[in-house]
Amino acid sequence: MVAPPSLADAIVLDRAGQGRRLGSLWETQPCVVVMLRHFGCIGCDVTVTELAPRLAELHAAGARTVLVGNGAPAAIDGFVERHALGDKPVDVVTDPTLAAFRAAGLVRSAWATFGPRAIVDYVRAMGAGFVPRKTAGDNLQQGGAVVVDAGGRVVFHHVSRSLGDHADGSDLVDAALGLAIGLAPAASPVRV
Amino acid sequence: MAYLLHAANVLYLLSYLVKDILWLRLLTVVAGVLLMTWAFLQPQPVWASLAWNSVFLCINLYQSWLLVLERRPVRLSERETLLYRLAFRSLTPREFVKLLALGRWEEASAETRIVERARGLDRLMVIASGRTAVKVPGRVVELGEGRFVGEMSFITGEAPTADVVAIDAIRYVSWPKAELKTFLAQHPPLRAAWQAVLGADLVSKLRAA
Repeated sequence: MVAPPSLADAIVLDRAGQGRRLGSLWETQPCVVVMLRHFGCIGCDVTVTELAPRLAELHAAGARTVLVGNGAPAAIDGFVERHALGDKPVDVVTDPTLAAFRAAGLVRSAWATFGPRAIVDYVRAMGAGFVPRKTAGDNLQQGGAVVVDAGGRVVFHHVSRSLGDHADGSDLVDAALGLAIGLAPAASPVRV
Repeated sequence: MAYLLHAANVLYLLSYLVKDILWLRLLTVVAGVLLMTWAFLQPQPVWASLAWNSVFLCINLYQSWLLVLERRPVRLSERETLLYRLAFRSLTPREFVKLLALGRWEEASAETRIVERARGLDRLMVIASGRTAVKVPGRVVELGEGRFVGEMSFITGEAPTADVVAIDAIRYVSWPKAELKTFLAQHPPLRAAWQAVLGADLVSKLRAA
């Protein structure tokens, strides 16, 4: 499946508020796009904490990793600092318009944010030591993940059904490794 | 007989104070036995209490046994230790033992073809000793000890596009692909650790290509 033009054309903002097409991120290399909720979301804290140790693996596999939140650009710095992402191979951007989220087919609902599954996710996250923070973005928007190759082909797609539902880091690494193998020269020892 | 009830509750109190889950369970087992004894020795035995405490006792004993099994020291044979040092250092010895239990040690003599090009591969291998040659059209690449064979097929599900032939007598561990995938799916932390090992091997091959 090719990434829809509306996803590639969605504008994401960096910490300075500078916009760029989301599709520009996968023009030259495979890209792992992890769509977060708002920057204060407890479920996103769990997502990023679990993903952070895998960033080096994704980078080594030749993939660029991008975290997309939906809060104000000014919230990015605090998020990066809180998760110690400053020296890691990852870009953090935001899409307050939610255009990228809609284009990726992600869920936006009160049920997913406040329903029974979300409550269980919430309690589980708190039990693991995470603390709730002030909402910094759209509280109803859920996350997801898309892995796209340099040609814009989607090889992995995950739609989160509640605030604690996120793509398994191992699935993302698997997708990135699969793309790396696909890019390997024909006369390569990884062709086994 | 009230001393039995008090002793049981003191043990329950102690169990709430310890941090180690095994000690917590064992103290609860002893406390439960004292409580059941007290309930049984009443002029009218308290059968409901006896029944519930029997259930708790069984659960705690079973879980304690699992904890003891998990905590037993891991002992690796010489060849296992060598393979662990070669390729699996980022796993804990216990994780390594779990993976080895799923695989099989195999040997092949020189010139044996262990992977055939364009033919579906249903296993993943790691070389423990000896050398192999990966033969792709126009190129031969040598893979030695600690290197994986069949990881592309394992990750993508595609048939290999190269032959792999033993250069000299080799010893390797072979995992059935389907069983390994199922096992890893059931053990997410081990899957992540395994993926790091396999990914590192894959990336080093890509860089050498």
